[in-house]
Amino acid sequence: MSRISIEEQLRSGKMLYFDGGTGSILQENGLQPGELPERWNLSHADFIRGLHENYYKAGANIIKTDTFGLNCLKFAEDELKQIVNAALANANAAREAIENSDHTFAKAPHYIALDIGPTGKLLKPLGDLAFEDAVDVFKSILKPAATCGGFDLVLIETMNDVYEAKAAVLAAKETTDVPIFVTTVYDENAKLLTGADPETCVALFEGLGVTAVGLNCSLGPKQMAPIVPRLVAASSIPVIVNPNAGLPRSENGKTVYDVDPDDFAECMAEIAKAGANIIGGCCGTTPAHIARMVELTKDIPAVYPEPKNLTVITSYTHAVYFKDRPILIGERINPTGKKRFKQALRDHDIDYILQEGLTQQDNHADVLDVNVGLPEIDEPSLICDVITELQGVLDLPLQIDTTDPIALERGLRLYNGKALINSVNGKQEVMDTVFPLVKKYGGVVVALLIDEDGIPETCEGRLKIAEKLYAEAEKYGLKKSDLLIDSLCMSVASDDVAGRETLKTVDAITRNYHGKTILGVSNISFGLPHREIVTAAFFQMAMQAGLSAAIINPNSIDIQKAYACHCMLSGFDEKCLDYITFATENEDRLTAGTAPATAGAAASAGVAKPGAASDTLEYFITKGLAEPAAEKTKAMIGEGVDPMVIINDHLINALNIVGKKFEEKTLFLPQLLMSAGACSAAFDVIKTHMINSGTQQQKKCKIILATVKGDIHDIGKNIVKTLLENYGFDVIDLGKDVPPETVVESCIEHHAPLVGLSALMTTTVPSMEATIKLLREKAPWAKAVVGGAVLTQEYADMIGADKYCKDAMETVGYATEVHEAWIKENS
Amino acid sequence: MALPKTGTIFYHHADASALTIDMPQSYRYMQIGKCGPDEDLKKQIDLALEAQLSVCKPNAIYAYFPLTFEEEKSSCKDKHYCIGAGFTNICSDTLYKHIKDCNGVFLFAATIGVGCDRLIARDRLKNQALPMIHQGLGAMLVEVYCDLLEADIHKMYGDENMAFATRYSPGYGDFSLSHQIDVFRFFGKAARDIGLSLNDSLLMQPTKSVTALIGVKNASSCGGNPNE
Repeated sequence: MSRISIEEQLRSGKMLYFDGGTGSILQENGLQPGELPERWNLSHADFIRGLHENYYKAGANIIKTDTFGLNCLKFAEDELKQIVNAALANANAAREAIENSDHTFAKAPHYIALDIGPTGKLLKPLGDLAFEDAVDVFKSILKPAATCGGFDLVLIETMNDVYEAKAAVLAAKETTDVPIFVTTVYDENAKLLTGADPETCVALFEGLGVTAVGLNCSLGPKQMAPIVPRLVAASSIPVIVNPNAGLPRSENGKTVYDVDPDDFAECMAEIAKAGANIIGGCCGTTPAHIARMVELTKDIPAVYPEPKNLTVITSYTHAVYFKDRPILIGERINPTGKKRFKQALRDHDIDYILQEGLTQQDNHADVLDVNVGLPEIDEPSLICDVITELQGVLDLPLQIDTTDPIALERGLRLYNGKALINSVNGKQEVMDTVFPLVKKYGGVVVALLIDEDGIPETCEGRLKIAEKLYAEAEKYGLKKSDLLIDSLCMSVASDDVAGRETLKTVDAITRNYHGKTILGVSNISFGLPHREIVTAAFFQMAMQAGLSAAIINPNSIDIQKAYACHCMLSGFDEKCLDYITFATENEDRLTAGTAPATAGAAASAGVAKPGAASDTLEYFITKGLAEPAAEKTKAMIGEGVDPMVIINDHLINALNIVGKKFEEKTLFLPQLLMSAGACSAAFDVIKTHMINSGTQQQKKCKIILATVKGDIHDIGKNIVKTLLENYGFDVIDLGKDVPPETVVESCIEHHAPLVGLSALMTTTVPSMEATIKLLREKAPWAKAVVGGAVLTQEYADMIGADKYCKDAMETVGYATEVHEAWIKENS
Repeated sequence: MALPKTGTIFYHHADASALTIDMPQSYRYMQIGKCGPDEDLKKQIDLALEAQLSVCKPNAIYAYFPLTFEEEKSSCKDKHYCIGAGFTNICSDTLYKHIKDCNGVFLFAATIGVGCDRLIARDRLKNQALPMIHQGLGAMLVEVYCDLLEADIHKMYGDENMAFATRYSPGYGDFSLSHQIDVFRFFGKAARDIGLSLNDSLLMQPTKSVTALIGVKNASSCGGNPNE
């Protein structure tokens, strides 16, 4: 039977109805605790068919296949295929039955949704499932389903992590051509368990090109009702609402759900009036709930949403809109002109990069630019590492900044949100490369007004390129709101009218084209003395001309001043609160013009004691005061003290004092770590000084550190790392969940004399044993030191370790022994 | 109130503000001695607690099962007792000792969510002591949430003729951690609903999560404190 496509049906202004619960009904009918419901497609095929048919008879237009938990993590390949085929056959049999009957709803359009639930695993970095592995898990059901056919849409549902949902959407896009619906699970605070709000979900999934977006499970219709208007306000695609019939509770030994069909239907009628286009039920709802809901809502029109034309990007928790207040994009994760940063990239020193991110977040950047391009590094690989790590520690949206299309695509795939993309330009080849990626992965793209003929000198010339970019983007289905036009600013030092033409272009795009704009404002002052004064003034003028976003150094006090004043005077700062906060937080810098606070310093600010009696580096280290320790180190270097003297006579001395107190139990682990943090801050000053002055830092031997495969606890390992680094060891930190092969390869590559392995759980000690075994075989020169909550001397002996250390200080002692032996051998 | 239907999964939720904060417990996890933190350290801990509470999302699932006990079951090898706990059979002499007087058991899985893990990952870059502090606070928060959950279960299902054992987790005594697989198999979708998963090394994610059994007896005492 031919039927109108689901997209046409949605555009026709008629409400569509999903079915209700499956799992809860199966439980009522004998599904045993722990039994996998998907197997009922084979063992109870008639029951499943009947259930689908009952939902169609209740008025549902879309039934969900009984495949919610079906994937290769739970089922062997053959069984999985069998179940997919059976599930689709059951659904199609039910559809045939209703359509060939004389039932009231026989002629209603009937659709089948291939139902996809979460994998049951948490994705990295919080869990152990890699993003691309999650994509493959979802493909394990989508591929056989696509081969079998017989479904009209894919429903990705009950997702409480947008990252996992994104993996599922990509898997669906790369496997089938049918419409994709996504529903996520909110709590009563309108947040997913992993933190995303409704606006974030809409922007992210709309960007990925799904057909409809919404919410299901966890809440009843009453609790869902306040979330619906937020989805409707943000969405340009239809909104789905599939609530539970409340949650199961026990009443005199019987399991009951809170919401009966009448109450359910009444609430759903309100939800329909609030703008939902597709409604149905989830756990606890039955054909009776759906029938009553259809009856009460059948005359409520479901208006297809108007395009909202929002320029919006997201992280995994929140959305950033480019509309009133100019958006600040931190530019510091970029090697251009930064020796220390380049060194960090070459050394794969991700922590340094993360630190730059955190400092910018502390200084109120809305978005972080991420550029890791250096000629000698593998940019696609590094951009993935940096994006993964950044989104593990902070929740700001990222601007993926690269000219390498491979790096761009890999970054866009891995990014947990809807990214800002830097950039496309008016060159045909670049547009042909970048726009398809924006279309596939979603995103807002920075569009540079440059083409094959270069940057036009005048505003008029640049606007022609803007028109070309808008027109070309439209061919890919992208809207004007998906582009941020960068009028490009050249240095005013080389062109007197550079500032004026750029500002004219910003003004024209804003007012005449109703487009959004962005500028990297610091270029304007290139080659001039006291650049920050010029940059800040230009920034102020550009905001006045309507600039939507600026790529700036958020740590610059001049930029911060200009921004705080602009926002306040333009009416974007209610009761001047942001300005007052800025002025209060920066009292010292505004009066004395001192350097910006670092993330480490900000954290230690709570323990700083202004006017402390002692002013020695040892005092600051032993007290764990990071910022004063760094400042004191800078001052000592400025006075001409040899950095090696600072290390050996001051830092190590202070650490030894702290270490001794720790061993005597007069000082505790958190205090030891605060001291280590202060020492790291001092070391960082020395490191930066050495890089800038071109001197080599002398390090002790190399040590490989890893938390073994299967173990995701790395606090202990990180403590050991910090202390070893403080004592001058060259630590190669492989992170957590590291396979034996990786540890051994790294040991061979660096010819490291010592490998430190950490494990927290008894279940991961075998991984430790396997690593040591492989180490003995392939890198027999290396010693293995082990530690971690579960380890004992007995365990260590049993798995063949050279040394068990009960804590980080003991590890430092053992590493020193190994280092001295290594020096002897190599001298 | 009557005990719930066997094997039906229920959800439990609490606001972080409802938790009874137990700082001495968290100091123990942070390896801070009996004299407690000094003033500077305490300030850091207080700030960390504020951050933790702002992201703490306590959620749990639980189900009730009747218990059976068997002695000398061949499949139990070196263990004397086999406990039929409804969702699985458990060979464990220490668990038996703990719940031998009980007729039923509540199985639960509780978590405070990913917030603590995120703070540990982020704040290690700010200050080396913070991961340790967050670790201690997170461990305390999940334990006090379990206390609250236990108290609610007592309140909802208990009466004067009923007694409850203290909670006992896989990994305690000879109650093998491998039973985590059974726990997660049983909870299935419900575990996903509260954002809880088990990795191949039997570690729960988010890390600040607990699974445990609470024995139930229809009269007098039932089990003791596993720490005793």
